[in-house]
Amino acid sequence: MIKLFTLAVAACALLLSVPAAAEGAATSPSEAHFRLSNGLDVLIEENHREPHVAVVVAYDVGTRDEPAGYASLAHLVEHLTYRRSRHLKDYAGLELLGRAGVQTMNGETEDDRTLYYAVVPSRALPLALFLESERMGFTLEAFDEASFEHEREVVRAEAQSKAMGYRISSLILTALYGADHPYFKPASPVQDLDELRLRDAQWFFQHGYRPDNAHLILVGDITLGAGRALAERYFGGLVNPALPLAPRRPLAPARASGVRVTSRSHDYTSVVVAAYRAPAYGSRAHLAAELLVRALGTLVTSELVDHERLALFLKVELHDTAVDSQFLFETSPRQGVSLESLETALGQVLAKLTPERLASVLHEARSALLEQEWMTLEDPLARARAHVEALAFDGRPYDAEQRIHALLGLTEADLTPLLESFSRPLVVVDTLHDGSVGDAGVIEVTTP
Amino acid sequence: MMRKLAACAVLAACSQRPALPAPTLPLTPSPDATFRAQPPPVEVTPLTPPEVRSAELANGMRILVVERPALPLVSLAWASQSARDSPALHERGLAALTARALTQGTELTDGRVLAHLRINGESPAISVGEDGTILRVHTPAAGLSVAVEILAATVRRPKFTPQGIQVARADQLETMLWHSLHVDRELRAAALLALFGPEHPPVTPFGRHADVLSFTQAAVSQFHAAHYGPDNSALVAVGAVNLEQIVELAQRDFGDWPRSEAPAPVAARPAPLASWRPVQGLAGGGDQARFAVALPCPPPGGTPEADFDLLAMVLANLPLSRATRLLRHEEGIAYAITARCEQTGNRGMFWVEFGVEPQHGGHALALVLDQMQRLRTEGVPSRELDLAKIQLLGHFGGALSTNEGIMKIVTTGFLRRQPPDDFARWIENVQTATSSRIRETAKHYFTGRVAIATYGPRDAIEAGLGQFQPAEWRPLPLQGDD
Repeated sequence: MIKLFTLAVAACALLLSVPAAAEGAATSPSEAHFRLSNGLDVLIEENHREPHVAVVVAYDVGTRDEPAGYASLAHLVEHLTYRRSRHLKDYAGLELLGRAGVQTMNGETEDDRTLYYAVVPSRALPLALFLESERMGFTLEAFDEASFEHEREVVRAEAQSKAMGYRISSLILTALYGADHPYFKPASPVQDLDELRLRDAQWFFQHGYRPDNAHLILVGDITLGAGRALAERYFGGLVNPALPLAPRRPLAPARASGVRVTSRSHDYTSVVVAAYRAPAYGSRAHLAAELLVRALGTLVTSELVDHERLALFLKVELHDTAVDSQFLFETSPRQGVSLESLETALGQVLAKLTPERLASVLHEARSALLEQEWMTLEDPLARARAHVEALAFDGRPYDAEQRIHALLGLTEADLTPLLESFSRPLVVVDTLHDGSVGDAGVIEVTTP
Repeated sequence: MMRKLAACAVLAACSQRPALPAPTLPLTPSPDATFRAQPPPVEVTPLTPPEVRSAELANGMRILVVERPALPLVSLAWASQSARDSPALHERGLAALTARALTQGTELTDGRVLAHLRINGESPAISVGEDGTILRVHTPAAGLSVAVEILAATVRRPKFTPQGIQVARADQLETMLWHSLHVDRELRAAALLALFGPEHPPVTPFGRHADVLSFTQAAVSQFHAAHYGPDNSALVAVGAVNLEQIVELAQRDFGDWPRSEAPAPVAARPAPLASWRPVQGLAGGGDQARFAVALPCPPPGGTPEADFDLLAMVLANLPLSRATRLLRHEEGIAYAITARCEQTGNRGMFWVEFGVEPQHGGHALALVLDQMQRLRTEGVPSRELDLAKIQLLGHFGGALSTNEGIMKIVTTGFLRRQPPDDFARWIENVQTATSSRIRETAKHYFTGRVAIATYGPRDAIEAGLGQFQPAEWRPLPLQGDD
């Protein structure tokens, strides 16, 4: 009890009032949002703090768009687009970006979208846009059997290197959404890899990599006028394929309730992941959920890690999809603590949360969330990614100023209704090390 | 309802595969444009390092500040050169235990004791090594005064209770266990074992289990009294603050901290190679063979440091580095290959790490080692070196674009006793590197005496390793194992 009191003292000692001037300075970027005639959605945010620009091209196509039996197709196509294009020889784009002093660059295949990003010195922005426009407009004709076979093996190697993280994600998503849902993930990401053909990749590219299915986001040291002119120059002449843009498969929210999954595998340490329903992205309630996540990070960690000493760590986050959101708790037991007892303790801690306890850490949580908001202003790539998510989930650019105002207005009354979610988990996944099981592991699913 | 499924049964149940339509022609309907014949030229942007302003309190404590007023945030750290891990094997881990214990009971000026210290919902980040100790927090600028007060109280007036020490000890042992569960960390430990033998400090970076259990409350208090003081320490701030503000706050909260009797830091001696058993195997599961290749590289400072940073870029890390080009773009057997010279105390270790399918393990290793040999005998052509320079400085520019990145660089430099603006010297060393200088550095360090550790399915790895068979195999420890 004494320790909890002293912890609260620390939090209150740092209760911060946000100076209005600083708030305004931090959240008044100048931005433009428009569409080119070919349908490309363009968002430019002017921010001259550092002489760099983040360039992100996001295609509204991802693993959820892979037809059944074509797992890894989206990832394989992402890899193929780095190879060459009509005007660029093998890997020339990578070398050009390197010689331009790129800070960071990569491609990511996600459930809902595929992202390509680079942070470049502002002088290299025309080059970065040239390269991304080559990818969008002139890459597909350069796909061939040799590069397809080659990238198939690279994708296999990448999947093997990330196998453990993928496994938990697969268990959670499959339990949440079911095997017939676009968010379903097979147990192995490469199970269909050998069956994929070059023409599958060509169809998939035409299906998703097109101006009318993409967003170009520029954040950083660029003026709105110059950004608009560059976007027109490099992307304005790109033509959509004759194939009409097909609607995506409809998404239903997670329908699981009280599902329990136990996975035993020889290469796993023991982890408990629990998913609870959360408000969907874009609502005031979702912002309250973000604040609640911060508060829970303090409260539940304090209980399970510091005082009860049952867990090595506890991570709380919101998992947002295009159709719903969940609170995700991930924790790992200390030596001698069983998964079951940790899972029970987590449930008990969540069940005894009260508005009063939330109120005790609310200011601290709000302060941390505001800090995080400001830190995105320092990171053009984080800003650009925030815009991508907001455009996808909310249909509008990310509005930090509006978020900060809303955040300052939230009270424990906004958080309290969310506690209802913790009365019953949607899914709990226990992953347990067991040296006696074979390579494939064993999965037990219990449904109520 | 309960059902027990083998994973393969799940796969079979979900396999329905309609044929996809053919792509439409033309595949790429966009018309050409004359400007596409040549990519836009780029003039490389020079890197401008931030200005580090410094001051010193009367008690010897240094103040280092980088003023970045754009955002109302400050990254704050207290760093000590003397609160560092001991080179004596049986004392390793005591510095880390002391630092952990700091946050288990800290007395404020009004007598209140903070247990399980959190600032903004997070414990202060603590890092301890052979170079010293760092405690780091982030705060909105409006909370800076309180943050400095708490940081000062934390390092100056900890309450070392038996219970707090127990909690810190348990945390440290858990961390040691946690580290041992990460394949890549275990691989590194195995490679160090192969290079140095079991009784050498680099092999036990967090201390040994029995030693950590033996450290008493008195030992922790004594370590704190002997090594925590204003001399050889610095308060570092990066963000919306100026030097004068920080000096005022530091004077308020650290100014009456008397000079300690802290012994002057003694440079650790370079670590000799105690033993050399080239290949170690860790038996485990999965479909991949993970590899860690290790050899000594230069200690911090001087042109060899910059040379090795460039060699790492030439060899791996970049999309078109040599090993990446060979293993990924030509052979298609690996995804990512990393290389890095990591420096601590008075030595450096060069690491090359990657994963491949087990049957390609020996081939992949041979390719990587051959490239290291070529760097030694042939050097690096200037065009390749220029690309490495630009990319290295580009990445460094990224680190210098955030408060957190600058904080890390300035604090690390202080612990290494480098001048505050030492990164300007490093930048110059990178820019002036020549092919012949790089070759000389490679010649000195790439002697062929490397240690290798591999993890994965033993039978499959052995079948693919060829000449690189491990001298010994042991299982990877797993959570709950004795």
